[in-house]
Amino acid sequence: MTQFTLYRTYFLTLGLMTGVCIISYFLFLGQSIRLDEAQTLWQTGRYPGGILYVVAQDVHVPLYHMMIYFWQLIFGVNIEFVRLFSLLFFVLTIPLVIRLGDEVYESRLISGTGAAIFALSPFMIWYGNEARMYSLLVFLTVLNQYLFVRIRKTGQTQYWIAYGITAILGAYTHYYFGLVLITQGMFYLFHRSDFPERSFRKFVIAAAAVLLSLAPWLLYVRYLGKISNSEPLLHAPGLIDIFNTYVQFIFGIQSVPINTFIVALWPIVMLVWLFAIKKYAGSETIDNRYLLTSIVIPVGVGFVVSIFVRPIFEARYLIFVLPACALLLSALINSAEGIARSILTTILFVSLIVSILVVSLNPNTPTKENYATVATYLDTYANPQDVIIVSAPFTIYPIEYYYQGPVSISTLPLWNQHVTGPIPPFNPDTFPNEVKTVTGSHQRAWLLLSYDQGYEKTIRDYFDNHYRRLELITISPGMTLALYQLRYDTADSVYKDRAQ
Amino acid sequence: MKPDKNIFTQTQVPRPILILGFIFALFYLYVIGFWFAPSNIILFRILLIGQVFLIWQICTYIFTVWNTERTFAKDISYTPVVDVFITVAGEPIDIIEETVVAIKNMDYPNFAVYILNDGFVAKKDNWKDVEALASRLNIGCITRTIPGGAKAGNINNALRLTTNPLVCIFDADHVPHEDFLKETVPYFIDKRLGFVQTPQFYKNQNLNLITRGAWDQQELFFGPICKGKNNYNAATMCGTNMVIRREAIVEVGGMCEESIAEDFVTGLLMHANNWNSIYVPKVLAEGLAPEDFLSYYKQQLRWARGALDVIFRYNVFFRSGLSLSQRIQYLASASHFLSGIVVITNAFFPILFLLFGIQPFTVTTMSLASVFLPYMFVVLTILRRSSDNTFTFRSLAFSMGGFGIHLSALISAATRQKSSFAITSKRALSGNFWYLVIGHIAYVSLAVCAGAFGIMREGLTPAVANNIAWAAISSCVFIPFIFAALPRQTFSFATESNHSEDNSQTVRHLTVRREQALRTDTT
Repeated sequence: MTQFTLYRTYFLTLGLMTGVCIISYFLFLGQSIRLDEAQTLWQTGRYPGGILYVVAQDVHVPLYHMMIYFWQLIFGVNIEFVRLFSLLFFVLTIPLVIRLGDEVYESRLISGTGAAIFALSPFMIWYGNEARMYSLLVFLTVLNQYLFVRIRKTGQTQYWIAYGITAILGAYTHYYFGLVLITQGMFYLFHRSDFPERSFRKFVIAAAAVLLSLAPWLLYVRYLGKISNSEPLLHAPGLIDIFNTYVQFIFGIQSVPINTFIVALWPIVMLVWLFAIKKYAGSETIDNRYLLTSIVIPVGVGFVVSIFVRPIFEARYLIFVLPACALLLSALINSAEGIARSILTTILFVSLIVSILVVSLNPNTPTKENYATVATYLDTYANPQDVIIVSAPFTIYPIEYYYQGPVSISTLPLWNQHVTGPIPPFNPDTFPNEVKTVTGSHQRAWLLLSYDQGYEKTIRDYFDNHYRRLELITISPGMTLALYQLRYDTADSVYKDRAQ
Repeated sequence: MKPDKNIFTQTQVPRPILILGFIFALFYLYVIGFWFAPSNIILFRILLIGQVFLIWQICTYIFTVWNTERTFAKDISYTPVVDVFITVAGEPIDIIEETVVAIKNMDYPNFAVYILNDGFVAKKDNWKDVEALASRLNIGCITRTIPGGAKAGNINNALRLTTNPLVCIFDADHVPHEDFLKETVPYFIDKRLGFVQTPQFYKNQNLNLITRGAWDQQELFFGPICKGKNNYNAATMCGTNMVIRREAIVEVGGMCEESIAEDFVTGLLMHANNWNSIYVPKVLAEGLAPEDFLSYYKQQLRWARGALDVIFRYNVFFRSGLSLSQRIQYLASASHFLSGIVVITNAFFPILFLLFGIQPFTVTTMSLASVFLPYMFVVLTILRRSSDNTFTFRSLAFSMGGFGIHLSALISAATRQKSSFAITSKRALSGNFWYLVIGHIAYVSLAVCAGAFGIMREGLTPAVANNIAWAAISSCVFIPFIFAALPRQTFSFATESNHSEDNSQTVRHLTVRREQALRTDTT
């Protein structure tokens, strides 16, 4: 590599990293806390033993939470600082994507463009600024994939060791990292002859190391036997969800009309593909095939398991597929020649930038959970005699994070998050009594419904049928706040309050 | 860029992929036909017929490339005497001379060379020069004085005047390699072998967009398709770069003079008479692609018309003597030239929706994508892998862009109009041939207007966006064809002030350019 190319690469990498930081600072770091983030803060706001205890009852593995614990010791518990931890790993992944692209395509143009697509993916920016483990998962995945490719090419011991370490760390970051390893295992079985000698034994050792290191955690989880029903309700996916997943990876999670519009342009993908067909192009290199496998298998396995076993299909859990997607898209576009390549590249990056702005600024972006607005509203209009009722129960975390007022907060179904154990399921028989308990002698009830777990309509209908609704506000997609009059034997009412 | 002669090597697609392609194609057709709710019943039926045709093409392609690696017995010690014919009808002397010299240098113990000079009957000025050339190079020259039968008639005339058991035929611009006969004749130890065909390689393929497009199409044909046809004893006779057993061609009455694709039909007749055929997938001779759009257009039209004649005149499906596989192969080759009507019909569906809101079926755009994209992915994978990664957007564009040629050929074949044999020009013709792509230009203009109209009528709805995307695909496929017809592609370096064919400066420029393009192959 010439000195000039080297400098250009540094500038590209630094430019992308800086660009991501700027976009994040101005558009994403200040977004309202979301349920999952509030849960992160709640889970990590205790000593390490306690963190392990609560995470073991959740659907996650503890590496991210433990790291956040120490991060908070240094930087504090403010949500923006916790998000910075995610941003850090997002930014660090960018040079890794370039490195992986170099290894696979031996073309700085492809790897650089791929890294730019990755860095400007609204989906990645969104979750790269979320106080969750996703950017750490992506970072470890790309590192692990890079080492996997290096192992195939060189078989050197240091890569095996590093591969094993990243595999263990990845497995402790998210259960879905297992799909990365499964993909590699399947790929290896089909391309065994392309790997160095004795690699089968080493892969077996690596797999054993991962399983052995994860075993204590799995035993602990099994010992507690309390994986709760606190995870979001997932529905069995349809074929449309597969397309949506890939579209979201590139253009972010957009509102339904925008997403439908983007998806409707799918014939353009075919056109890009046709443009990209290049004569004698050795696009089917073994490593390119690995990248292709790594975007197909995890999504495919997730889909099949969701159909035949239980729904687990969720785009953000599959975020580790995104870097490979970006590199493959880059390779596809850069396969086109001359003006076609320039046009395609320009269209893609303009679309990415527009998508980032839309995701950030559009109030109807589905991933937006505007708990901050709810809290501000309640701060202004709720009286001490009122009660705030939230459902689903676990959404109490983000509300508690923002709302510091005097009104008591309850959940439906009734749940005390300070007591060990799973969230009680919704029971239609006991529900009226639960409502009676939470409403008590309060004058009015603020009912905040978000994260529908399948019983949201029942709750809403119950309140509509039993109490007088005074207000109904849609805060953000899937989040409504309603105010109900519970009692009429007091002098003041919301209208009198407003009039004053 | 130097043309790659080391081609047609990796054409065997793994069978599971071929089976997958077959399944996906049928599944796609099933879904289109039975799952999607028809909207406009007439459009639906038209679309369905078109899709059935496309599936036929895909399935026959899969059938063709099922085994592309069949080998045949040969005996290198078998060296019968060969008559080598060079068909000439007014081609430039320097081009003929290059071919003759190369033929004389062929490494083979016993062969006689004849120029079949049709310049006199074709009223070409240089027919005497051709005779002089033959005399100077000490080879035979058979000059016809009684016209008839075009190139086929010329060959048949020579067949009557010569006697050796094998006949080798080259067009005037097809320069054979030294080992041509050594690589082809040994297969004739099979006493029922009627002919051996080799590829028509274009050494000027990198000259301009037209030559590249023409070669891209040839590459797919002479790669997986011809190799696959070997498996069914159904090699296509291409009229040049081939060796024929005299006994076989005499038995079928010589080269067929009734068709303008005399070679294709003669091959069919030989197969029907139970003669075998072999395609040797090695570049053993190098020729010239048409260098201008008009020549390309005429060449394609001749091929299309000739191939469609097989359907309309030669009754390939019920002709006795052919095996089922051979029937399918001939029908597949001939029916390729029916695809133009499907291309333009499909291109108009989005336009009709954008202008009038009518569509063949009502379906969510993603439901269509769910069946179409996997099917398309597998089909393109098969095309790519079977063509050894030589299938490109350009070959698709030239193939689909030729819908006008296909339609013209279809009309003339269906109405049995008489067509004359036009020799493909060996020198680039100048001029602006936009009138040959007026339909393409009209379509692109209409697509733009229809897109704007659709947006005005319905707003930028998903349905409008989806149909605009489809119209954009058709437009983008037609655009390279439009560009090929414009003068700058052929004469980008020539003086713009004078495009006349006899302008000496232009001709000199062209010659220089051709020489530059061919220089890389002098080794």
